[in-house]
Amino acid sequence: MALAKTCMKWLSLAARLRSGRTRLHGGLRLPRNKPGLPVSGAIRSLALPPQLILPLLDYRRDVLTPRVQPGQQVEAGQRLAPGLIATARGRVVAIEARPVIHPSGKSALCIVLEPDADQAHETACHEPLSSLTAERLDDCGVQGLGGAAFATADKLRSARQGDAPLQTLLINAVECEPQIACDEALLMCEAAAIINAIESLMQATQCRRCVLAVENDKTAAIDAIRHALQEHPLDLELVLLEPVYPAGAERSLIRRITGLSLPAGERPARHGILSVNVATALAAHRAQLGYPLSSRVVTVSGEGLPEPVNVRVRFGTPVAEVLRQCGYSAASGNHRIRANGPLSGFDLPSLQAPVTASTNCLGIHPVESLPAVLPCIRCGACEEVCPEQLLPQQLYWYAQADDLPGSRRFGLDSCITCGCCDLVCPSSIPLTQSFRHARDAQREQARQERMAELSLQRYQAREQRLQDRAAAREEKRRLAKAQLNTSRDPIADALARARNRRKPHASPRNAASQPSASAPRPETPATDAPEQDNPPEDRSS
Amino acid sequence: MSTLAPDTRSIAHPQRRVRHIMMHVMLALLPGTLLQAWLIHHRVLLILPVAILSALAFEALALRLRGKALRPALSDGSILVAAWLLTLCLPPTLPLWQLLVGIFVLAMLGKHLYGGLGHNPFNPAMVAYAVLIVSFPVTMTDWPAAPPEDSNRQQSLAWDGLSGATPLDQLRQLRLQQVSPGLVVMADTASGSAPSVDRAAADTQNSLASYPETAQNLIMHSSWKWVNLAWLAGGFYLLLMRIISWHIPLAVLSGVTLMYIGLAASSSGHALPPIPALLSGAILLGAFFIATDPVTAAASRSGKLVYGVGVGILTVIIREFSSYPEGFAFAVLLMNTGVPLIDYLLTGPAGRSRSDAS
Ligand code: SF4
Ligand code: SF4
Repeated sequence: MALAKTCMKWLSLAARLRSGRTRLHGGLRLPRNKPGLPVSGAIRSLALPPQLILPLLDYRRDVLTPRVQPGQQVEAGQRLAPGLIATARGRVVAIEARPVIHPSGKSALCIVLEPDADQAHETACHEPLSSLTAERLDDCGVQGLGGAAFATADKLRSARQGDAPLQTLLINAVECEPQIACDEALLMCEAAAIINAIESLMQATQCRRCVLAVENDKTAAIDAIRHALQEHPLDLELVLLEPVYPAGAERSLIRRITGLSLPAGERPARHGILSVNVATALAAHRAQLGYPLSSRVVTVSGEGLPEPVNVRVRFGTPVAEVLRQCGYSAASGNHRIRANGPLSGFDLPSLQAPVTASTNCLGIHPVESLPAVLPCIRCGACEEVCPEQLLPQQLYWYAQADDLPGSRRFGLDSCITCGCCDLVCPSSIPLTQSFRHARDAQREQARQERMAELSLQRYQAREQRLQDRAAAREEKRRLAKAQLNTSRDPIADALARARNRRKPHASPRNAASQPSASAPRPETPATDAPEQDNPPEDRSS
Repeated sequence: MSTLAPDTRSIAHPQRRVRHIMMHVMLALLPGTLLQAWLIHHRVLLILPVAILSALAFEALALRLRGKALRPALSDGSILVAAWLLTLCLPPTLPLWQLLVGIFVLAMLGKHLYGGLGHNPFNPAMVAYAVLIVSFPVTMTDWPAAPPEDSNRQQSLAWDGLSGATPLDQLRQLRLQQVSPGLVVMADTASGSAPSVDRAAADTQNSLASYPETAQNLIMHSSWKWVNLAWLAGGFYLLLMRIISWHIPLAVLSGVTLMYIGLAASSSGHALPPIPALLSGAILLGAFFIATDPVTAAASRSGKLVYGVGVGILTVIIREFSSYPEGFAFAVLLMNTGVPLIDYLLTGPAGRSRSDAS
C-alpha cells in the first residue's frame, strides 16, 4: 500500500520533471472531498440579515475612524470610514464594540447597519469607466478576497510604481486549502465575466505576461474557462498545477510559475509580479462597472451539513445567520465552527462575528478530543513536507523557548503557517500554533520597538526644540546686552527711562513704545531692548 | 489558544504515530535477527526477549520514579527498538546479568536521565554498549565462531580453532600478528585463548602474505555476510517506507568507503577493499538502524550528511587505530556530541538564505 504510494510519488515526480515546472518543495496531497466539496458549483445568494455589522478595522488591524453617526441614513457604497464602505443602503443604528472574526474572540468597534428592505440585490453606485483606475478601486472598497484582504488599489499602485515594469500578472485561482471551493465555484459559474475581468486588469497594468493558475483536478472549472476563452480569445496562459497543498500560497505559487524565490517579507511587486486572486479580479472588474465590493463567495462545509455549499454572503452578515440560512441548526449536535479552513483557520469563539472579505470558508466540525502530544523524536517528517524548507522541529525548540533571534535564524519569518508539519507529525505536536504565537510575539515586540523608537524620536525632537528656543533666547539676550554696553552711560539711561515713565505724553513715539514696555512679557530682558534704544536720543533732544 | 492549531482531525490525511514508526523499524530488524539466530548462535532468541522485557520494566520504573504517565511512553515502542538494537550488538553468549546491566544503563542513564524520549543527546543503545564493552571486555568480545559456509576454504584458512571470532576480531589479530606476533600472544593470554591463537599464528604466518586478500576471503565467506545483507534489506525497507531518509546511511557508507580507500592509498597494507569493508562488522546495521536514530542525529539534510560522514570516518579510525575491534558505537557517541553544533550551523536552505539576506 505504502510501497505503491512511493512508486506513485516517483512516477509523478518524473512527470513533473518532464513538464519542466519548478516543483513545490514539500507540501501534501490532501484529499479534496472530505467531507465533500460542492461539485455543482452553484452559488446561492443569501438573504440579507436584519443587521449588517461592519468592523472598523483595516487589513493591518488598525482601527478606522468612522465618518458617520448613529441614526444617519447611508447609501450603498458610501464611505463609512477610510477603506470601509456601506454594503447596503440603510440606517446606522449603532457604532459599538461587537465580536469580530478573530481566534481570540475579541471585540472591535463596528458600525451596525440596518439595511433597507429593497436591498436584496447589489446595485451599481458609480458610473462605468472605460478603464480601471486605482481611485475607482478605492471608491468601491475592493480588497483582496484570497484571505489577506489587502487593499487592491494599493497593490495596483505598488505594481505600477515598482522599479521594474510589470512582467507578470498572476491570477490566482488555486484554492487556499483543499476544502475550500469558492474560487472554483466562481470559475464554473462566471467564467465569461472572469475572462473580461482579466482582460481589463491586463489593460490596466500593461503586463507582458498573464497567467491564470488553477489546480489540474478542477476539471469542470478548467472546462468552463477554456470554453469562455474560445468565445473571447485572450493572450492568457492557463497553468495547471499539481493539487499539492499549499499550492495557493503566494510565494510558492510565484516560485512555481516564474521560478523566482522571493525572500521572506519581499513584495512581489518589486520583481514586476502582481498576483491577484481570481475573485478579487472579478471584484475589480465589477468596480470598473460601478459596483462596490459588498459580498463574497463563502464555502460552508463540514460534517455538520448534509451537503457543502458555496454561498454569496454580504459583508457584515453574522456567521450564525450564514449557518442558519445554509440549513445548520446548532441543536443538531456538538459542533465547533471553524473559519478559513481546517489548516490555516481557527475555531470561532463567537458566532455573532460578521463575515468579512477574508472569510473564505466556514467549517462545521464535530468536537473531538485532541490526540495526546508526545515528545518530538526528531523524525524529520515535518521537515520533509515543509514548503518553505524549514526545520520545524528546530524552529519549535526556539519558539517554545521564546528565543526570538533563534527562531528567526531558523526561518520564523519564512514560515507561512500552513500546518503541513502538524499534519504529519507522529507525535501530534502543535508546531504551527507555536509558530503563530512566536510570530505574534515578534510582531508585538516589533510594534513596541517601533513605539519606543517613535517616542524616543518625539522626545529627542522636543529636547531639540527646547534647546533651539533657549539658544535663540540666549542669542537675543546677548545682542541686547551688547547694545546696552554700547550706550554711553547706564545711569543716565536709567534716569531717562524713569523720566519717560513719569511723562506719559512726552512724544508720540515714546507713547507708542510705552505699552510694550509695560506689557507682562516673561522675556523682559530681551523685549526691553527696543525701548532702550530711545532714551539717549530723548535726553539729547 | 488551541484554536490556533491546524485542525488535523477534519482532514483525512493518514497520520503516522510514533508507534507505527517503531513497528516498521522492528519489522525491518526481524529478518536479520532471525538470520543471526540461525547462522551465528541460537541464544539470540533467548537474550532478545529478556532484553525487551527488562527494558519495559526499567522504563516503567523510570517513568514511575519521574511521576509520568506509563501508558503513552510504554506504548510508543521506542524502548523496545533501543533494547533490540543493543541486543543485536551484543555477543549472544553474554551472561544474562551483564545484559541486564546493559539494559539498565540504556533505560536509566541513556534515556531517562536526560528526560526521556526525544531529550537524550546520546543514542541510548550505544551508551549501554559503550558501558558494557568498557566494563566487561572479555565477555563482550567473546563472539561464538561463525561456521564458515564453505568448508574447503575453512580448512585452507585454518581458522577453525579460533574462538572470539567475528571476522573483524580475526582480522585484528591477524594485523597485530603481522606487526608483532608476540603482542597478540600476550594480549590473548589475558583473554584466555592463547593456545588457539598460537596455533593460528603458526598456521597463518606464512600462508597469509596478503592481508587484503585474506580479509576479503574471511569476510566474504563468513555467514556474517548474510546477516549483514539482511540489515541492508531492512534498511531499504525503511527507506522505501520513508521511515528514514537516505542521507545518513549514504553518508556513513561513503565515509567508511572513503576512509578505506584512503588507507589503501597510504599503503599501510592493512586496508580492506571497499565491498568487504562495508559488509564487515556493524557497518550496515549501524548505518541504517543506529546512526539514523532520529533523536540523536542531526536534523537538516546537510547536517545529516555531515553527521553520517563523521560517523563513518570515526568508525574506521577507531576500528583501525585503537584497541577496540569495532568502533561504531564510539563513533556514534562522538558524533552525538557534535549534533547541537551541526544543527546550529546547518539550518537548512531556507534558514541559511534568510540569515544571508539579513
Ligand atoms: S514531525 Fe513531529 S516528531 Fe517528527 S521531527 Fe517534526 S516535530 Fe518532531
Ligand atoms: S507551518 Fe511553517 S514550518 Fe510548518 S510546514 Fe508550514 S511553513 Fe513549514
